[in-house]
Amino acid sequence: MEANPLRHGYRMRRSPEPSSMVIFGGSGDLTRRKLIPALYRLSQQRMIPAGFTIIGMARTPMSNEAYRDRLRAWVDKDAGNPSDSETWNAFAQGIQYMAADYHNPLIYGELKKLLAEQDVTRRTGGNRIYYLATSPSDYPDIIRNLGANGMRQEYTDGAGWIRIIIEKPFGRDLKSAQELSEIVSSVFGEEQVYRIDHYLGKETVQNILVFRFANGIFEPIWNRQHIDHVQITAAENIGVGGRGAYYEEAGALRDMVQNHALQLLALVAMEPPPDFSPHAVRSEKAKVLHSIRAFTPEDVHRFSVRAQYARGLIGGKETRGYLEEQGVAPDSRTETFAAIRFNIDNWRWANIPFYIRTGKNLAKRVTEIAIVFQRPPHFIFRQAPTTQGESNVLAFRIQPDEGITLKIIAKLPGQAMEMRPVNMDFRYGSTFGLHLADAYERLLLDCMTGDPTLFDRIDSVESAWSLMQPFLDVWGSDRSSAIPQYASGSWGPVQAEELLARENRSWRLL
Amino acid sequence: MNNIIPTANLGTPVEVNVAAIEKELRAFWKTAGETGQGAVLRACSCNLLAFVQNREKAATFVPILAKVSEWHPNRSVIAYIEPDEISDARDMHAWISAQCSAPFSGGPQVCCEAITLSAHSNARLNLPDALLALVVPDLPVYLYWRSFRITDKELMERMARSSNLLIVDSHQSREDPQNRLQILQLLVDQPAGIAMRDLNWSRLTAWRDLIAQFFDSPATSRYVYEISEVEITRNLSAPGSIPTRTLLLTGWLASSLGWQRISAERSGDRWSSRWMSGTGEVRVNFTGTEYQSRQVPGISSVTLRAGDKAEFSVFVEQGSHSFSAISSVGGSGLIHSVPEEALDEASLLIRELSQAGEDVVFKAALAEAYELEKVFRHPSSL
Repeated sequence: MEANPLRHGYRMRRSPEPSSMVIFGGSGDLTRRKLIPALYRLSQQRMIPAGFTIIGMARTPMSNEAYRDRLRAWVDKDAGNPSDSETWNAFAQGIQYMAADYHNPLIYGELKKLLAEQDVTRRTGGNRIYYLATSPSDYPDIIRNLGANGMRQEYTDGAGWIRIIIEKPFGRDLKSAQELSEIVSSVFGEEQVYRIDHYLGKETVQNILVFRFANGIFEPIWNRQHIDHVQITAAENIGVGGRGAYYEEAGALRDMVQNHALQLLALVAMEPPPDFSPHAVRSEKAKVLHSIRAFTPEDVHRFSVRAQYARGLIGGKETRGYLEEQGVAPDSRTETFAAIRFNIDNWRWANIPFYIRTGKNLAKRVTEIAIVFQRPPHFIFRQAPTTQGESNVLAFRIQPDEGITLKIIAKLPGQAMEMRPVNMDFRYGSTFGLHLADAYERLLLDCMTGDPTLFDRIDSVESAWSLMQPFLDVWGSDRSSAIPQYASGSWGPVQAEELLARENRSWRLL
Repeated sequence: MNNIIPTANLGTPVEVNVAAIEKELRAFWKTAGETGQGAVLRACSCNLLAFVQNREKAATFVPILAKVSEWHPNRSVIAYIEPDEISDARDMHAWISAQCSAPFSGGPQVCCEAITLSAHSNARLNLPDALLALVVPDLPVYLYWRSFRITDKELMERMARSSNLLIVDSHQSREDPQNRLQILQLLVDQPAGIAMRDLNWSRLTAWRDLIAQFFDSPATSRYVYEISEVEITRNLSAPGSIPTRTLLLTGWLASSLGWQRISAERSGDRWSSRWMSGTGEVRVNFTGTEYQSRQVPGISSVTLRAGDKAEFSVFVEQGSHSFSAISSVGGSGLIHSVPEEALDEASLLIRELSQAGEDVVFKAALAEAYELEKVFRHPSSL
């Protein structure tokens, strides 16, 4: 079919074809906080067409009307995005609810029938998105049942395109990721699978690629000749809260490092792709992840730190330690903090360390990538020794207050040759004045338009799990030593400082 | 919406010389940094030169500029020509001021510089040089010709020569058909070869978007090539005029779908045109209705028909703040409602400055619109 000729011209935004989105986990937390508010905002902005249909599936029996009322309340209250009646009514026309147990194969026939009805009444053209917003333990059954009921084949029997969005975690170690991958690939082609990591939908994360590859001045110095090291920090100033039981099974490594932090590392370290096509970008990301040096058990001890938060003060209030949290075993060895030094074995990055640190109950909520440049080879301003140790730093602030900062050294006004580091700031909020779109809006729209650039490909996922596996093995089996503790509200354990200090470096004070 | 802090006009005019103005600006930022309420961040991502009709228009442009600066922090230079009867020893005057707003995310207020420049008519040709000397180097220069009368083409061309984009608003000429033709011609001619924009085109974006959406679905996409009739209605605040937007909308459909014009005729508040598409004849009819108070000004409905097989309508209901799009194909209908967009001058300018490159779809639509306008004004030109 020829493309819509009225869509020519860059001013016309992308508008996907009408489709049905089946949300497995239609009454869950993710649907409430992220999916429905994002879909509503897209509808408000005319980004999704008339005919777009949502089928929410969950176990609780509920009428369509009751489900719509619930969703509207979510949009109005939880997301801080009050709906107006006219827009909501048009949006709500396309919302259906189906009470079902995902493990029951019989309900998939009913779902298929409901989808076929939408093709007629809402002209969805057989286009489907299956969104797995359930517990990961439900994924295998849902995927197998979709396959067994012939709900995977594109462009046959009236079907249009069919895509499946899978929320992280994609497995909990290399073996389970490979098992899940096997189940997924037995039903869907890789081009139909959209593994979502919402970090990649953030504006600043996408800007890393623009910054690197649309500016001529940075790429020539983006290498081991000019860069000393890279620091990636993903810090949270909250604890596990009521999610202790979940976190016990995850830990900082699975929750943050394996996915978000390694994705950020890949974007910083990847080679320039030949173009911005999904295949080219994702191939370069996969290649650089594959180039990260594997860790031996000895390396795990030498190049990483794990820790748990203890009691402390955050925002002036005393907080509990991790072992006191609800749902956490009193003798838990689950890490709430991880710091790891990575090496990338390729020509661009040989011997340049990439440090990642992430943790809960840290001093502040901040996610940042800092490119720390080498110092000048010869320092001529000997009378200003205090700045001799300063490096230029290019920092990408992912959240909050998204932007880019370049630290440079400048002369202090006055007769003496005194210098001081100053920051050149670019802030999205003040430069463009825009209210940044939520990452889910971007990613949902990308999936509807069939653009997988910002989604994880299976080779990247498996590479990331391969890298993490030695940590999971060593940390999982090590019962001999106590897990370091850090005070809540601090920047982590002293061992994390030592990890850099022994190489004459230090973490940035954020 | 950000909190806009009123413009701080710094009072007495300064000498129009770059060094003096820059000196005043430096003094302003120093004072703001020392005594301002809270931290001040000076921001600038582009230069916005605005040419307005007179001093009053310059004053009305200031609050618009404040809104634009929230999204596109800029150094703006507002220029106008003083009428000859105002005598003054100096040929040019300048005032400097600042536009400040508090960003969504909190933090320091963001301030942008604004310079207002007036010139006597004897110094009008010096205005371009004076303006261009004041731009921040290495940032794009956008020229907004807010004075709808294109009476001084030479001045405009000289100012456009050093700009990256020229923006006009053909809607301003709604009661002046001669000038509208001139504006359309100017847009078609592209003075100095720079990218051209018309805010009136931007007012059509929501309409174009909703019309295009009808044909995104595989079930309806073929009808885009089978359109046989288009009905456009619009309320008219100036009876007897031909609204430029209706011409641009028709031009867009024709150029996007490869229609060839057969004829066009006009009678009072109606006009019609016949076109040949790949599948047959297409008739486009426009009907103007008298503007009622409380009505949303502008186009009120667009209906496209593909014979008797399908009908697609977009309309704004009176008193409603949303667009509705209805498609009826083979007996089944779908409705989609979306909120109306803010179409004030500041919002339109913000949008244009966000997409500053050449807009080829606009150019093609404009060429058709210009031809239609010529026919309506001079029927013998068909």
